[in-house]
Amino acid sequence: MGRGDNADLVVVWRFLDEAAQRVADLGEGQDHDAIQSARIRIDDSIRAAIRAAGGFPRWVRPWLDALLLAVVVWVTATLCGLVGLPSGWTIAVTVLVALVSLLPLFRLADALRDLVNRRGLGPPVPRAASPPTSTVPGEQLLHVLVAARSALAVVMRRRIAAHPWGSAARTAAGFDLLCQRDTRLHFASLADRCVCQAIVSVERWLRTAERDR
Amino acid sequence: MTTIAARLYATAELATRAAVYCQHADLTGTVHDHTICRLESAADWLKGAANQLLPPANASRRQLTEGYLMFGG
Repeated sequence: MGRGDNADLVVVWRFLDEAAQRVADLGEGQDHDAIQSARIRIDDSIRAAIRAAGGFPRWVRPWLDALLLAVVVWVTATLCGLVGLPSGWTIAVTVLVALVSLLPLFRLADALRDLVNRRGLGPPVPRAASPPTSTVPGEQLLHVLVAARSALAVVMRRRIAAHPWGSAARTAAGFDLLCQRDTRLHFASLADRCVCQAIVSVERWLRTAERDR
Repeated sequence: MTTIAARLYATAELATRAAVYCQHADLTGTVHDHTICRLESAADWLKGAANQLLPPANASRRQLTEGYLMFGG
């Protein structure tokens, strides 16, 4: 995915970020499950959009995990040696520490991956002072989400056009195959599906609010 | 239970595939976002049901919260 594609993803990210802020404002003091569901879906779509930006190749991940584990093992063994533990205890303690640290290490690797991917999208931007197209906050949120979907469609179309097997996407099955093979297209399509769920949740919330009025 | 959970997972996979097919159609502007949402939500619910039958070892607190929200506790 080239620079141009990431520029498209920056647009997506800004729309989704604005939607996240708007849904947080809407959800304040409200316990409606539709608005909570919308919030979760928007968070999911932001995460997926960040992963769609790439920047952290898939092959790097196992090496990063191995490197972090090696550092933990080396530090533990060195500390055991400094304390003066016998070899058997050093091995036992090192294995135990390595096992216990597996989950935190994977979380650290996840955080590093997200950081690298987010850097590909540039610094976070302040909330845009866009002119409201509707006076109802829920409807404004819907417009932002629909705009995010349009931007995601541009990202997917460009990704397909730039793909060496892009012509396969002329059929639905080919598009599905490309989504499975191409990590960035997969996450862009996942973000799009999450945005669809957020849109429907917001519409459900609007209908409920209208009925309760 | 394992067989039922496996079938639920397989059906969820089919629903996700159907959602992706609808996305493909949507790129040419013929499918409403509600169709994609319902298929994706169906996949989520099926996965949630399968997880309730056989909770995955790595189920996160967030996944469980999502299941709670979707199934209404």
